Amino acid sequence: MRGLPCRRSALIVFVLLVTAANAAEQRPTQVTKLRTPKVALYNCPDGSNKLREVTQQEFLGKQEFRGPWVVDPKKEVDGSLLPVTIDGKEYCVRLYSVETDKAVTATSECGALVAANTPKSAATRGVGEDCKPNKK
Amino acid sequence: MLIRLGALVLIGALLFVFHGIRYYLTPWSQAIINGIVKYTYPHTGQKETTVVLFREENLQQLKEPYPVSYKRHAMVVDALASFEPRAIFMDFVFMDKRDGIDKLQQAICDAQTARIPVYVAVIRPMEDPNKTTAGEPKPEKAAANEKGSEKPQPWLFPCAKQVSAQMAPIYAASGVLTYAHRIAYEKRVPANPDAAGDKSAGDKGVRHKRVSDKGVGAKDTDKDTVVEKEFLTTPAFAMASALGKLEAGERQDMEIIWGNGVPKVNTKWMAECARSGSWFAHLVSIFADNPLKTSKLRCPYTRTVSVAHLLLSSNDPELADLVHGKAVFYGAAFDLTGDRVASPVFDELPGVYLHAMAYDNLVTLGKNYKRAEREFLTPSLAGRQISIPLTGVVDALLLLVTVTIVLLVEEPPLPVQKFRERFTQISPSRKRLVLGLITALVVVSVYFDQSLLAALGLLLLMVAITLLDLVPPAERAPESLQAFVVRRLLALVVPILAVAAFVTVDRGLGLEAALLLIAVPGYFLYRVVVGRDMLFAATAVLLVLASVVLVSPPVNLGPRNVIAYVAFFELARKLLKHADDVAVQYRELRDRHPEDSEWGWARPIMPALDNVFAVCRRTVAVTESKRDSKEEAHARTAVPA
Repeated sequence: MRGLPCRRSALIVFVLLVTAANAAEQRPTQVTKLRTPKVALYNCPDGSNKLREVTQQEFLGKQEFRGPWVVDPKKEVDGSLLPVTIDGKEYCVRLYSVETDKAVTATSECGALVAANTPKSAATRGVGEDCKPNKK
Repeated sequence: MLIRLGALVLIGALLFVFHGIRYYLTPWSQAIINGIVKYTYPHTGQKETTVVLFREENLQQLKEPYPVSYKRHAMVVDALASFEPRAIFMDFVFMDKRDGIDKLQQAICDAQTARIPVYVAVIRPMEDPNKTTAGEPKPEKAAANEKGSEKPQPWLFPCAKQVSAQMAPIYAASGVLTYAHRIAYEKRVPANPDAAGDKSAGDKGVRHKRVSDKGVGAKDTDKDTVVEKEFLTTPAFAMASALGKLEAGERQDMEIIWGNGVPKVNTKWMAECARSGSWFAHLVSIFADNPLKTSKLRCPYTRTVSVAHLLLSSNDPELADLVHGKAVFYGAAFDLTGDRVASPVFDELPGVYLHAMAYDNLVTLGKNYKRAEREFLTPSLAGRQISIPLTGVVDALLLLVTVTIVLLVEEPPLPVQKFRERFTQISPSRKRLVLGLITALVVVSVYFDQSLLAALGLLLLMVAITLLDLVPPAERAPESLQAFVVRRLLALVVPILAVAAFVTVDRGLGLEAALLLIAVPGYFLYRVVVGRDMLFAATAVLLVLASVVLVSPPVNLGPRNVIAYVAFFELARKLLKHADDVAVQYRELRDRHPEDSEWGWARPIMPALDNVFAVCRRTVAVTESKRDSKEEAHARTAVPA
């Protein structure tokens, strides 16, 4: 009998935790920190053009480009980029250059074979058209 | 005695120099050494080293064609620098002028600004395209710069440091063991020493050494230039020196110790970290094939993260743990590119792991890393200094010791025999006690880095082996019928049990452990208990201890092929016995046919044959006291040659 109030309070804490976790899941992912002194903002979805660089001061300040930046999970972009919305405009940032409030992984590697006797072949790897230097 | 010594040393040298005993036994020797290393090599370096691997699959994941663009490499350097590693080595040789080199240069310079040194592999020292060999700006480039018509050609090495990607030649049967500390290149420079500035060399981390005033191989027309030797440091040595792990005077070619413990992070995403296949197939392949090939691991020793993981994830604490404050080796594992190395412990690995493992050795062992070769200088008769390779001297000494023991113990010369008579009454248990104490002295000396004392112990052990009569008995007391049956049954059952134990240990702990725990002790015990061959045991212990002393500081040589020496010891004994048998046979024939004319066409060479077979015969006279000894009776010819 003595254990009943304890069980009841534990149940309440559990329900609260579950509710909080659900709320956190529903909240959009945000960029909370810049990992490098300057972070480049690229155009989406391919990141071919660097549009601007944002400094730590700008991110932490109260002017333009202040953080946190909201991540748009529905937008399809290049794998190494993260689509963010800053002051209503859409940009892309390099995944490694920022820290988000939730872990983001665009890939998973399992069962990789690193050390193995690869079959010996008497051939050279051809270089495709894509490998020609891009002429601007 | 001297003739026999010379003949055996010659046979040994031939076997060791040319393919034969050494080639076939090296893998087994290395398997045992790897087994020992598995339990003794500390993981200090493993915690400080990380490989960032650009895998074939990453090309698809990143939508990147092959070869990887310089822009992508720049992105990787940028990403790595954001984690603040201690240093970055790029195991890529950027030989071609391609788009994006300016971005890569910028990424490297940004890393350097953040105090992260970046080392880039080169196949030979690279020159700044904007400067002359003397380090001055090229006139045409300088003029174009002044006009502003042409930008200076970007190149990577204003900020990056050049390191040589060239590998040392592979001598070992089982894979790469030697890691050069620097690679020499020849370079033609202006004859005026002032012009061949060290200024530019210093910037690149290249060391120069003038070969001769005329130049090696210089043509007559090249009177204004000389050939200079340039040295480029290899990545592991350059990084270890820069990070304070190694002093300049301590750089010598390394015998790599390949670590054997798979890090947890690798097991999370790599396949075949545990061995697959049936025990029987494994056992067959061990004996049918190279033992090392079957025991090789497929999970690398160095902690590894893929480029896709680096570039396509955010907020991964494991990534930060792997890169922050670590020496990062960035390399590739692409199909059909050839950059792979074989090692005694692992299956073929991407080449970057060689540099990472060498760095790991330098961090773990510090100045006591194992040298592939040591040289000492000695003055010649002409007064010049000659360099003698210590490895060659050590191998020759081990061979000489092996042969000397065989000759002194099995067929001791008269003075040794007389001296040994004083020890014949010593009981076998006391002999073992003496040998055990000396062995303990050597082991303790090695443990406390007292190499001089250890060497003295080895000498004492050799003397003890020579003086304490340890030759196996040839005659045994007659045994009962039951004892005969038991012995034969044991001969049948014991090998089956041994194979079962070997398979069990191999299955659970690996081949090295099976060799260490079952095969080697089993054979050793068999020779001591069944064969009562204390001489074999003592010699094997002596050779193993000598190898341990040589591996330990301050000698720090790479592990010697002990199994080859033990095998040669057995071979030498067999050879001597065979020579003696043939000599006895010859003596009998000679006694029956004493006239040279009876030997037909061989008549002219008969005196020479007499001498040759006299040398082949054993020279032992059994003493009375020896006959009284209850312990051992030896199969020696009573008639002196």
